[in-house]
Amino acid sequence: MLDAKIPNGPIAEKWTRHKFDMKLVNPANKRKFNIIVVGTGLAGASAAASLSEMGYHVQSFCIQDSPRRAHSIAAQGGINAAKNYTNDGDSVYRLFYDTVKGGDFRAREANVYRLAELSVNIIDQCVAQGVPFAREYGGYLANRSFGGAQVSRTFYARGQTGQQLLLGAYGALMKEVATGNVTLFPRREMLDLVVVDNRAVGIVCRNLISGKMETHAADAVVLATGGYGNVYDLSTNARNSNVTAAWRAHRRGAWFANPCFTQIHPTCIPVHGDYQSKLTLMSESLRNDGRVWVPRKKGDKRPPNEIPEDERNYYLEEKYPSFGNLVPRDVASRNAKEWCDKGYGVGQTGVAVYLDFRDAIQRDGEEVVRAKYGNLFDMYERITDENPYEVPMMIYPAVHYTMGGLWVDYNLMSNLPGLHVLGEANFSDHGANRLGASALMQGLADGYFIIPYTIGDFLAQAGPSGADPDNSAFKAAEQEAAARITRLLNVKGKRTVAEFHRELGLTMWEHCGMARNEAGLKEALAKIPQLREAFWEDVNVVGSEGSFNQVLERAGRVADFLEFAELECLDALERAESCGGHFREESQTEEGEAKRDDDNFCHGAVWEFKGVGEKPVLHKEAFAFEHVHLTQRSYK
Amino acid sequence: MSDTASFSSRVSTSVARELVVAVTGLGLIVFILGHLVGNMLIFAGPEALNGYAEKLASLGELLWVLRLGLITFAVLHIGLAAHLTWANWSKRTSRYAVTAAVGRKSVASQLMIYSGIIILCFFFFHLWDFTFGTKTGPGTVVPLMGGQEELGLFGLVWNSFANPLRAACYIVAVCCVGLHLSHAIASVWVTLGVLTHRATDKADAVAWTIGVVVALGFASIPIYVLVRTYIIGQGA
Amino acid sequence: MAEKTIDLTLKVWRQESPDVEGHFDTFPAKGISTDMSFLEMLDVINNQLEKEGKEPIAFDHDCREGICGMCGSVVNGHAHGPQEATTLCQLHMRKFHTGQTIVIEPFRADAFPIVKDLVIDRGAFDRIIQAGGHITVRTGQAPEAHSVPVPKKKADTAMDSAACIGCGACVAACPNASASLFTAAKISQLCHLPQGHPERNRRVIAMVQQMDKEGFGSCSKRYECEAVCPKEIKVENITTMNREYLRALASSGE
Repeated sequence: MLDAKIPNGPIAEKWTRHKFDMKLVNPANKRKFNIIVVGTGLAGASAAASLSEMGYHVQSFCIQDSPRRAHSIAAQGGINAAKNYTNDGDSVYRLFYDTVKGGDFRAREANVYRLAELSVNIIDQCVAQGVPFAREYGGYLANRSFGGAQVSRTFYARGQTGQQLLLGAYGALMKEVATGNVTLFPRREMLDLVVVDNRAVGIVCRNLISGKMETHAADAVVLATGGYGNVYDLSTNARNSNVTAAWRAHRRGAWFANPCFTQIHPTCIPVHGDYQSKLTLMSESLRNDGRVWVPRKKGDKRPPNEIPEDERNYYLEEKYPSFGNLVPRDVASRNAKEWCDKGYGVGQTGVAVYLDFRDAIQRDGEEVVRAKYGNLFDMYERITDENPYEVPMMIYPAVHYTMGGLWVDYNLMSNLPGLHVLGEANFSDHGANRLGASALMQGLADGYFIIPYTIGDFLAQAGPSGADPDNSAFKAAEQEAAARITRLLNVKGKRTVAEFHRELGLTMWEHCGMARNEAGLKEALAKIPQLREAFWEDVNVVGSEGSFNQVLERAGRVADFLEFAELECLDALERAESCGGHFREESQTEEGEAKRDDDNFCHGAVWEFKGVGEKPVLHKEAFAFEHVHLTQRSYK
Repeated sequence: MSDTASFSSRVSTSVARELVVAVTGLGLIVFILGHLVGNMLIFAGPEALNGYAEKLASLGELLWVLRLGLITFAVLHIGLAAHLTWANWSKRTSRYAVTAAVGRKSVASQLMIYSGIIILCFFFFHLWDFTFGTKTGPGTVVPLMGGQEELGLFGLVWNSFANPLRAACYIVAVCCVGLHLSHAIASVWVTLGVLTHRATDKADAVAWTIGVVVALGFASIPIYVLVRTYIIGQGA
Repeated sequence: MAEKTIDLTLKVWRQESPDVEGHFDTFPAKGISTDMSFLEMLDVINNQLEKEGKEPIAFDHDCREGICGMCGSVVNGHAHGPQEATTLCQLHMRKFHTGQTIVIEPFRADAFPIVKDLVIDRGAFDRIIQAGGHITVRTGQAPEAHSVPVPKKKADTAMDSAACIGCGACVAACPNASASLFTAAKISQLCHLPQGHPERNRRVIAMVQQMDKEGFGSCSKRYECEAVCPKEIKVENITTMNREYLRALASSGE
């Protein structure tokens, strides 16, 4: 049943061959096809623009007031590409190798190779669009090493790389809107997927301004709706990021893969109050010069600058001499948690570690440090009211990215014909842990260079869907979505949506966060259905359905998180090994490192929905590693 | 895609209008500076000023060409500026309950249209008063300066300014000119596409200086006349 | 992080929909932690309102880290509040003092119709970009990235302009509700890069025409826009736009 449709041939030729083997839609016929693209982040905007350029009619949907605001915009650090401009031995193969290894061998080799291969085209495309990447005096592009990579392959635009890449894709999308080939639907939230005869043929969405339900039919549906990090309530995700579109598709038959693979980013500003709405990421480029430490004495409450050198524990440098502060994200996060759990944490809450620039400032001077990180230091000071040039930053890990997502084959199509899933929303190429500066690369590879080919192959074979919004399936889906909204409004309980979201988030963070164990996951699996029940009995959703109603919007999203969370915990429970960002306490080496179990878990766990509260069915996609050999990761 | 090709659509945008206002404004500034220099001849006595006026008059047709040019500039400047201001006023029909002072905005920048209107009124009054005023007869006799001799334009100006109310009106009007110029000269470089961020403070300072010099320069004449008439008298 | 709490009075603009009259509602805001962000303070008020069964204050927000451009209100007359170079979501309550009355209004401009309370429709910005705020290159057409070197200074200048988040504060603060700074920032970004040159004449004319068509005013060079811009976009961009416009007028055709 699960056919990943990986093309034959040597890994370096698979994509090239596949492009030739795929069916084409002739130019005159392309304009007969309608494609719905949900989401306008890097993947969605680049896909919508590229498909329109080819001649397809595209309907582009986003929940924000403008496509330019999708959360890709917040990515700071950079985008990887195997250009080898720095002559340090990078290659497509090395980027492929690093990504498979970094993902702890839980991704499909063929997909990852294609990603590395396409990375070089992305940079070309973005430069041509006017993305102002950092350059050197000679006028050529600057590169830096990022997130522990041993080569400098990261391209960046100050600390706003995501913004600049997104504005490039947004510009391309606006260009196509101007031609009339793309119709834009801002402030629309997809509430359901319409499936007719086992083919995705449209969506139901709510116009967030008028509150009216709308149905849209198409020949193919592309979801590029991002990740589910906000199931934890507090995360680095934008407040409105949600799982609803993906979850609704899952409920309609699209299978969900590896939901327990979440990435906890090591360098975020710690939580400081129960009113907190957001955790702010500090770019991990800070670890290039900042040194992570905690006091050697438990509960040492002295101000950091009064703690002498020999009483500081630079635990990453001591434990991982060759990578030091630049170990991958999951390793850095877990170590911070470990030291805080042992009682060495700093700050008022004791749940933070220091990231200290004292030595970098002494070595290079404040001006050099300011030139590199000035905007980040300013942001830190704005939020915390502390000057990181004088006192060490305090950081703590926070939920940042989700590697799991809807299962897709090599063509980025889900098990539901006609439903394609791009970017963070799919179960992606990052395995169990994403390397820094790889998310932007994947979103754009999917949107610019993969889906334009593979969707043609699908349409050429499947032909027009003939879907009609007046069809009974559309009507039924629309009524279902409307009924759900009415139900939310009619609970008229006592607790706010935010309170439920917070409670869910705390449960998830405690039991399905940086470290997981069987007992905790079972506890979460008992708690979540209760919370869901309480939600539907006691939530208070004020306002009406026929108007702009942000409480109602969030209520719908939290309701879906309450269903999704159960799947995530179940997946985490089922995967009784540690890999990448998924750390099962039962499965660790003597030194406390993640221990994979390749004999039993070298697969993607792919879940089929069977009803709320019903146990989903697990399917497995076995991963074969022919090029990057299975080894235990070591960053010593 | 909007029509970018036709000339008429290119020159009718707000930016194009601002450009015309800026260019014509620059022309008017050149005129005002020339006018100021000419006016200073009043300090050299009746012969100098009257001689200058006669020389101008002797230009004949050329003078009318210059005057027509000036009128065209003024009409374009005033017409387009009024149109832009009127259009700008209609872009925010609901007002803020609270406004705060932010940015470099000066009093001058807020009062452009009002200082402009005063200058326009003053312009007509000024024409009627001096350009078309009678430059012979008893009105041009300044006992203080030359007994019973008719002093032509010089006499007309002198006697005009000897009236304190009229002098005060003139002083207010030329202060408006200075005020108008202090914002105009600072902002014209933005409109003409030449002002860098670093030069903004300098442009402000230069504009302010020119505004003050123009206002003081023009105001110095009625002040001089008043001082001579009421304080120093014949003794000087 | 010396946390303390302050008591405030909020006067907030309420407007049910674009066509109905709006008014101010007054709310007490007691025990507000000075470590809260401005939007977290609004969250707290909204949570109280919801508890009382009342409709919370509608305000746009998303990333809450100052980059998406979704948030923004006029706070005591300042677009994005009193702190320079800071979006509303990054403004913290330590900038206020106990006993203060805070008046919160939407960004007002006829080109930005009010959707509800503090939420506005900035679709006009999208249409300005559609008119020409992009480089016409199809996916796949791009040459190798290093085939065209770009002097570092030009790239840096382009990046300064590209930092615009499209929040609309410039329009909100401008007495003419002009979108000049927004429009100019995009024109300036693209004209400083060689990739943007083939379309530069057409771009500036089309974008300015669209800006007019959307109902934004013109620039009176009063610099309010620069003062409130959370990304410190300079009026120099408007100078560049005007220069580009002159160049386009002087050139014939494309």
